[in-house]
Amino acid sequence: MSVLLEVRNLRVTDERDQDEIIHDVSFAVAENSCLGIVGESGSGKSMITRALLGITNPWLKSQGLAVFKSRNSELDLLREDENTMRKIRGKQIAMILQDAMSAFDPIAKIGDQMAETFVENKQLTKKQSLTLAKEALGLINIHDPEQVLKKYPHQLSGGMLQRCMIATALAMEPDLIVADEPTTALDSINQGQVVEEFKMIREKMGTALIFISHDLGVVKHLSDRLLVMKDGAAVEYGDAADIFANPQHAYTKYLIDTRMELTESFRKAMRKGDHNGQST
Amino acid sequence: MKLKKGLAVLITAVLCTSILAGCSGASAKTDVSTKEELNYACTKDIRDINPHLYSGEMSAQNMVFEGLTKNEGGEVKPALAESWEISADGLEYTFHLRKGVTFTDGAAFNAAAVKLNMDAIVGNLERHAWLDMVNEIKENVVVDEHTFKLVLKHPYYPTLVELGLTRPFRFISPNCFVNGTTKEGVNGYVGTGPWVLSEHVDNQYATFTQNETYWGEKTKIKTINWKVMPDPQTILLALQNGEVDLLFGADGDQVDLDSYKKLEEEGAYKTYSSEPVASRAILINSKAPITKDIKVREAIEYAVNKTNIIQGILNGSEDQADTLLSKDVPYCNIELKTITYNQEKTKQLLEEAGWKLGTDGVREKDGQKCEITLSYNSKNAQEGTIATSIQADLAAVGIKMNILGEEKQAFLDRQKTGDFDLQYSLSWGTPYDPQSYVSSWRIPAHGDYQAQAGLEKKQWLDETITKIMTESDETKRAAMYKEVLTYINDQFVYIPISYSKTKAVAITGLEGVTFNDSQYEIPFEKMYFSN
Amino acid sequence: MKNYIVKRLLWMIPILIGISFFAFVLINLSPSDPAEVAIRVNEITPTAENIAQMREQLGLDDPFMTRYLTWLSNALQGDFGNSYANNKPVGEEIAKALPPTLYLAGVSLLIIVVVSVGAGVLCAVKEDSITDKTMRAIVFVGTAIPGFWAGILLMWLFAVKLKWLPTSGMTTPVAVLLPAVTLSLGYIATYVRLIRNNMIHNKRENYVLYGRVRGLKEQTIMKHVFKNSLQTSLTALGMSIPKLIAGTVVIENIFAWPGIGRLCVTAIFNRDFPMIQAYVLIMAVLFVFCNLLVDLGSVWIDPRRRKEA
Repeated sequence: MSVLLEVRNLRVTDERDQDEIIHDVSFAVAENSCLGIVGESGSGKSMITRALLGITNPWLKSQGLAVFKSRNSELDLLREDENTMRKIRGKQIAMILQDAMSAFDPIAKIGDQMAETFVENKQLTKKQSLTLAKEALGLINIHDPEQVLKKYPHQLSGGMLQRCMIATALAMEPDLIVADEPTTALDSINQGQVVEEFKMIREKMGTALIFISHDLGVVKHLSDRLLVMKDGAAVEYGDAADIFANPQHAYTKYLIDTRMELTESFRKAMRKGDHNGQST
Repeated sequence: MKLKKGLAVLITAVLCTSILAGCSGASAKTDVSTKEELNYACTKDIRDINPHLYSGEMSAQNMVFEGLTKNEGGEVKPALAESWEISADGLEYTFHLRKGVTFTDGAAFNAAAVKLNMDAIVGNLERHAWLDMVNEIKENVVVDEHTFKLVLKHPYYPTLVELGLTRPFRFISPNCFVNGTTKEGVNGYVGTGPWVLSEHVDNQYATFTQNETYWGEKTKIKTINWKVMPDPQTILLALQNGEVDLLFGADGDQVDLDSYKKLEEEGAYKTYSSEPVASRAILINSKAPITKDIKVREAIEYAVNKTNIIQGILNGSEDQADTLLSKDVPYCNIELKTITYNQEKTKQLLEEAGWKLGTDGVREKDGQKCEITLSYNSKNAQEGTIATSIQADLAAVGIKMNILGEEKQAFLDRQKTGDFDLQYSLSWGTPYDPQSYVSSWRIPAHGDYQAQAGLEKKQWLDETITKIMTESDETKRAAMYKEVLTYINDQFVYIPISYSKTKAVAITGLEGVTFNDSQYEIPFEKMYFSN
Repeated sequence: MKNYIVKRLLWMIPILIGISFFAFVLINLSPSDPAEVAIRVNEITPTAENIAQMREQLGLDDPFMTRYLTWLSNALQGDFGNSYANNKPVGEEIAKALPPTLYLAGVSLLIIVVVSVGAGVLCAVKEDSITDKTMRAIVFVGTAIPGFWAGILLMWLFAVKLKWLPTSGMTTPVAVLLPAVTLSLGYIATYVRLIRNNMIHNKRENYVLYGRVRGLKEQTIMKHVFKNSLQTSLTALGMSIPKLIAGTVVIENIFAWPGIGRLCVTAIFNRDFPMIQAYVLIMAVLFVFCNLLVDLGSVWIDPRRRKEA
């Protein structure tokens, strides 16, 4: 499998006080693979992806190399201008945010918001976009997608909104999806559903995935490779299964020990809802 | 923040300089040869110009309605009455009316119409209490179609003059009467005058057109547009903008003196000034705690530097007054003791009165400070400036004078109750001076009455004034006037400042801008355009 | 929703009665005798006789509550009595003077909205840039200038010097521009800042990030931000309507605009009780009504609150 995204020596500095937030991080994401990024809050997991997508605060400077190979072109994400980046965002790299409820404009209908993504990125008409949105919702097994599209964000649950975000990402058919803590704000049932959807995405669509979470159980379930972050630096990087079985770094060990217990309820839920008989 | 502040200062500076730059600069002279309309701006609307009531603008009432007589050049002249005779006992006035005069609605002007009007006026006696004349009317008689007789209760000498006043003795068409009278209002404004009110939009404008069936010389201008502009600044700008052709104002109303001077200098406008019209004076309250002492009043008279006021504030535009009524006013050509500015005399008089100079520069007597208050109508900025001048004059001799500017009603309330030490006073002007003015001294609601209330001989004063009004012998009357005026003068109740003049400003090309005897009338009918 | 409206409308009645009573009390506390003032207003000398006659004519000798209740019952039937000054029906006078003021206030509101929104959005989009700072400085100066001075200044510039507009009066259709602009100056700064700050606040919301992440054009994202900002600003703008209507006095005086501002001030100087009373009542109705409309509007605009109500 060829490499889709290769990041080398990524450094992010706060220009206001010259404070280095991300120190020298390197990793690679292959096509159709899933990279899990784990760490505690403030470890810099989200910051990495934001730097890559060029949506950090204006006073942060990113340095290093981030080669993105897509559709016959090779771009260095850190060096491209805003216009190019905008075209990449949403179309080739889609991102799913953590807090679904606040990710949508509260005074616009969900359907319209999903549709505008398609109108701008795929050059479709509004009508075509709404149809596409409906289909996308259907893809992730949402009942009565027509009704969902007509609703306002506050009328849907966090889980439902999260899945709308996923559906939007899916409909764009990107090369890479970045999911930033998609399950953190959800209850266990919803968590299970969302994770299943990601699995399906990986299997059916061949989309590469960067999955950021502090929930190790979920990460273990989905990831091929793993990147462990602490205080802005990469502590451990490699094959996910290996690391889980045999953590090298003391911090990784600590994480695994503490976090795994907390996800016990999740695992129970997984077993209950797992039709395919796959277990960790 | 610094940038914002700096920019703010810069912008303000630019704005200020632009104003100063723009303040100079005259407009070009306009070609008026084809103008048929005159645009006149006034701060007030004409309101209800019922000639028998007082709700409207006098100058507007004057345009539409005429009386039996008119006051011109200090004399009584014929108007709607061509001639008249007075009976020997002074009780009957027989008027021979002009023939062939009609109201603009076609109704005939005759003795019956005159009687109808006069009865309506007498029927509303209380409203006309300020004018003795109405009280004196005993009967209105129609002798024949063109002869009308007025019968009085007493031989009232100012009768002819008062019949010629702007109101109330003017005639409105009988068709306009409501329920046989005018005191409840009228349903039209039809008169015999040179102008007809053709349109009136409340508080915006009024249009007067030439009366084409006028019995006398028709007006030269076809239309007068009376525009209402409450703000004097706006009026000035409108004048400069060519929207207004004429400003005409009695005291305090319209053109302030600085603008007047500037307009004069610019040359695109002509400024006009009338003969002295009324007396501008300060009233001293003879009943108030400190000023009840005649020595104090005399002292104050010596303390006021009138030259400062005349030259500095009035820009020399008015003549200094040393007597309350000028010698040109009937019965006032008498010798009165006058006062010239003398600070030393003031100090001497105050010392004699027991007011000793305190350590803070203010005089004291029996533990009380010599502190008085001058009240004026705050809308009149000129009065305020004059007050400050007097304040300085008095401070120099140890009297502390506070200045109190109030809005009109509050000022008038104070006047009515006599709750003042010093107050600004303006006589009514020709042709009301001296009789109507002096007559009003008897009315308690007037500041003059209140100021005179502390005088020893106030009652005698009022009685003499009453006698004056009904004295038929001219010599006796003159003697009584002399007594009254001398007493008032020697009691130092008034500080005469100046004799006011009516001012007007018109665009060059407007000719015939003159002044009537009364400062409340505007003789539009005499004006015309000419290059 | 319907219940809410009905309830609010019902509440209007006691509120308005209360206000009218309060106004009646205050006016009657004035030391001047309205009968006397009514006489003086027409340049007649008040004497004991004509004052007494006037008092009787105006019904001033009746007890306080009688006068108030008479006034109230008449008012409810649309009769606000006659002006003390010129004896014309107050209702008519106000009815004649209200449209010009509403027209003036309306045009001012339009100017305020257009300029505030335009400048506010511009400043928010170019946050902290030179454009932003300059715009705010200009707006600040514009508001700091006192209304009457600004009015005369504008009049001098546009009427006298440039001759584009008439100086005053409700003459041509464009004559409303100078007074409307002068009137709006004082409010523009507030609303520019309001909209700017609202938008800046909303710019930091998560949905802006999500919009960027989805590759939306900056313009599209700003539309969302704008709509959200407008919502809160609308309430404030709505409440400024009665303030505009009530605050035209100085402007009307300078520009010879025949509106109720002038009417009210003249009434106050003349102690014209019926006129003042009617004016207060009408203003109260306007305020309460606008309040209600604004509240309803703000609930309806926000889909989150619309469904609740």
